[in-house]
Amino acid sequence: MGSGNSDIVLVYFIGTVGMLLLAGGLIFFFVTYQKRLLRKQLELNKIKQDQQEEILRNTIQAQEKERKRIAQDLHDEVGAMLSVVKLNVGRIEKQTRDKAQAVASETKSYLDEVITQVRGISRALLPPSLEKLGLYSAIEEMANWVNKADEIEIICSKSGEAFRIDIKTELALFRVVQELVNNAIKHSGAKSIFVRVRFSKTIAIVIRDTGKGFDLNEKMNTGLGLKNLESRTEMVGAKLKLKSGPGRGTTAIIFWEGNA
Amino acid sequence: MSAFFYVVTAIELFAVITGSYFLKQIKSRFLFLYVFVLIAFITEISKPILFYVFDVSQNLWLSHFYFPLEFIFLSLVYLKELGSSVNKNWMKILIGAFMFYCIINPLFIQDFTEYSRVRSFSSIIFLIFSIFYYYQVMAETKIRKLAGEPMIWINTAVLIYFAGSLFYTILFTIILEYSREFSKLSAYYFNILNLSFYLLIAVGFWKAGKQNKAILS
Repeated sequence: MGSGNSDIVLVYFIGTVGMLLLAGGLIFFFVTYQKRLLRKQLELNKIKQDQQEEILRNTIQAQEKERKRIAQDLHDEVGAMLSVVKLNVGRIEKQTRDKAQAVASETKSYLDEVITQVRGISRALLPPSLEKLGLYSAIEEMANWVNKADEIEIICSKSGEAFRIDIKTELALFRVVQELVNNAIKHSGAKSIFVRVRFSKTIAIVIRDTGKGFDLNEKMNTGLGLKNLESRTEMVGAKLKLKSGPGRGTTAIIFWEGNA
Repeated sequence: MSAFFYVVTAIELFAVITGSYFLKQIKSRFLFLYVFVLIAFITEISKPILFYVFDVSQNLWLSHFYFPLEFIFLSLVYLKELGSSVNKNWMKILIGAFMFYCIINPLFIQDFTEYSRVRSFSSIIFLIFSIFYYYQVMAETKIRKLAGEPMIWINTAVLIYFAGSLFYTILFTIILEYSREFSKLSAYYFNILNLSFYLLIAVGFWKAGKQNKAILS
């Protein structure tokens, strides 16, 4: 009887241990599956993000290539032909009298304006100084060009010794500065825009205006423009920080650390 | 017939009713499972009918019919569900071989009036299928919400039931030889597993019905 009782206990014990192992196995399966699912979702999100960055990079590259081509065509073809036309009109002006001379003079001044406009478009598309002299020179050239119009003043300054970095990064940073300055000109209503570039081990660019400002949260949630600027800076290893408020002007800080 | 028998039969009927209610939505995926549940219920209610109407007290021979049917229909469910993790040809060979064994067992190996021994082997096979299904789910990681997937409930039912059944079948002879009281007690515990089995299958039918209703709408 004694051994019979111990047999029963053994049977129940084995049965209980078996069921507990089974229950433990099921719990282990559910927990492990959830972890695995989470990891897979994170991987998928990362792949999606990388793909989006790749698409953006390719789009920007295509844009820049196109801009370069147009800038070169404008400068080499259109600009050159316009200069020839201007010379011809000058010759006509010298040779004709009275009304014809007046028309020729008027045409010449229109041509002057067109040539200036074409140069401006070409520069805006791709500033020649960017490739030759670097980021700060390109920003200065852009500021000088805008200041010629006399509607708004861009004041540029730098601190530290300017140095060169990868041309693609310089171009990307220049485009962001260009976009921010254009936004300030279009929307801020300010009379002056300050652009300060600090060169140390890193590059920091501050663009500040004393215009009407805007609700930053609202703009970030509704518009794609600011988000696009953020993505473009992140792509070259930089960070963009914006500060603004209604009636408080706008400050944009671009910070590049050199890990693109 | 004990009260427990009626409880288990009621739960089986509940599973049949749930399957019938959602039959339109589940027939494409779980028709074989529904047929199995129906057969199980018919087999269960045939025992009191045989006893009270035809005065047949010994019904162990029913196992020679029920277990092969149980095996074939449940295997067909797994044949459909186990896609990437197993070679389907091997599965078909295994099912064919087992069915052959089920046929020759009562004819040449065991006595027809004895409780069929094929259950131990079918339990092992279903445990393997169940584990393979969990492995497939883990490897594919396609299911976003495990509790919403009907096959998870059905597979868990199969795992728990057949693990318990294997244990019970192996020890049945020892238990019976020791004491009838002890064997009765063990039968009660086994019936609890039986109850859980059909309850989880009913949940599986319900989840499958809801899932398909959502897709169709």
